Amino acid sequence: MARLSDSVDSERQYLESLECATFEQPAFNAPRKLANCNVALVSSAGLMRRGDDNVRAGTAEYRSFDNKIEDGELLVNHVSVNFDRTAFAEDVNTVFPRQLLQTLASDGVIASASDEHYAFMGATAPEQMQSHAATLASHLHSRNVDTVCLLPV
Amino acid sequence: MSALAHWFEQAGLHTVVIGLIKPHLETMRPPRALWVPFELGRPLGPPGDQAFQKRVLLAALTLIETATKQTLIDFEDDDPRSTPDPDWRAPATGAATSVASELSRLQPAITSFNEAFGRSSVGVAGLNLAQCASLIDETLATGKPPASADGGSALLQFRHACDDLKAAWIEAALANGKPSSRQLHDWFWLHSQLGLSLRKLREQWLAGDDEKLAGIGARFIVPHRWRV
Repeated sequence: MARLSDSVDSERQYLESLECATFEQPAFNAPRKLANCNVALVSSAGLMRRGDDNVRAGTAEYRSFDNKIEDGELLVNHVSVNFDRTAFAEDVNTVFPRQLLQTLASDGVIASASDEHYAFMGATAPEQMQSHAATLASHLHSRNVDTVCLLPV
Repeated sequence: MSALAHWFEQAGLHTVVIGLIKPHLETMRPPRALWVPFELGRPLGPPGDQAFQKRVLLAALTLIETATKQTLIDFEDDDPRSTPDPDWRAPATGAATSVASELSRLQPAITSFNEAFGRSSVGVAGLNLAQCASLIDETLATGKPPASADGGSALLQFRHACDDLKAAWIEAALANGKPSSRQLHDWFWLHSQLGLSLRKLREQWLAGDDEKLAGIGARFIVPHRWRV
């Protein structure tokens, strides 16, 4: 699935009806050697740390997770029932591949994996997220992160 | 996520999106994107297959080095775990007549999964599974969620209890084999007491007079595929 042709009609119509923002003069930064990149992950899975407050539906705020957080401490708290959660149950890397990224760093493919990774609540209006994105971008710069891999669910 | 990519790029960061819905990537045109033909909810593809997942992640990250302008490429390989496992058998639940009794029957498989994987993805409700099951059974009996013990939203507590129970039923189903997501969800929504009960509750709420319950029923209980 995720080929829309494999979706049931109501799901396909819903996904096709979602309004997508467009960007008139998008920025594009010049290519960079992957071996020099310090990479952070940003997920839209509405992740929360076990025991923390729930992630509110519609919130545009993000949460930070230490790179070394145990898989068992991560929970999906997304409002949507329309995406598969069986893969996360079996293997957190399918959604939030911290361990894989660390492997790429150990192999020298990337310079390093960020000490922190991040999650937003997807299904939030993008315009509400802009100020939080700016805050996170500053935070990433302050931690010498230069590259972000974004992982919608 | 594509909007975030644009804003991060404007802020001087290099970005790449691993996206699941191609028309959205084509419209929003993030600076660099890899479209993957996997089910929503698993951008890296098959669970437990690190070699495959690594290929996905590398295909995306390589665009940081190779793309010289806005780029969208396809990942060509399908998720091998989308193929049904003929050897998988659904957990035995007998003729459970309530969610609580079904939980009792599934508990050994849930425990087996937790021991084998060393973790659980249950925990968003702040209740134990027996409390979640009682909450759902009470909702089924009365037609509306009971008040939250901490004075919070009853509907929110209901939703979180549903999420935890669904997570536990998934763990039970994964305890003995590697079903495809479709196999597992077909069992859950078409055969388990919990899944059948939630579908029935949705129909009740949609047919009722309470707009709030109807709104929750319309969108937040049953996935599109199993709504009819």
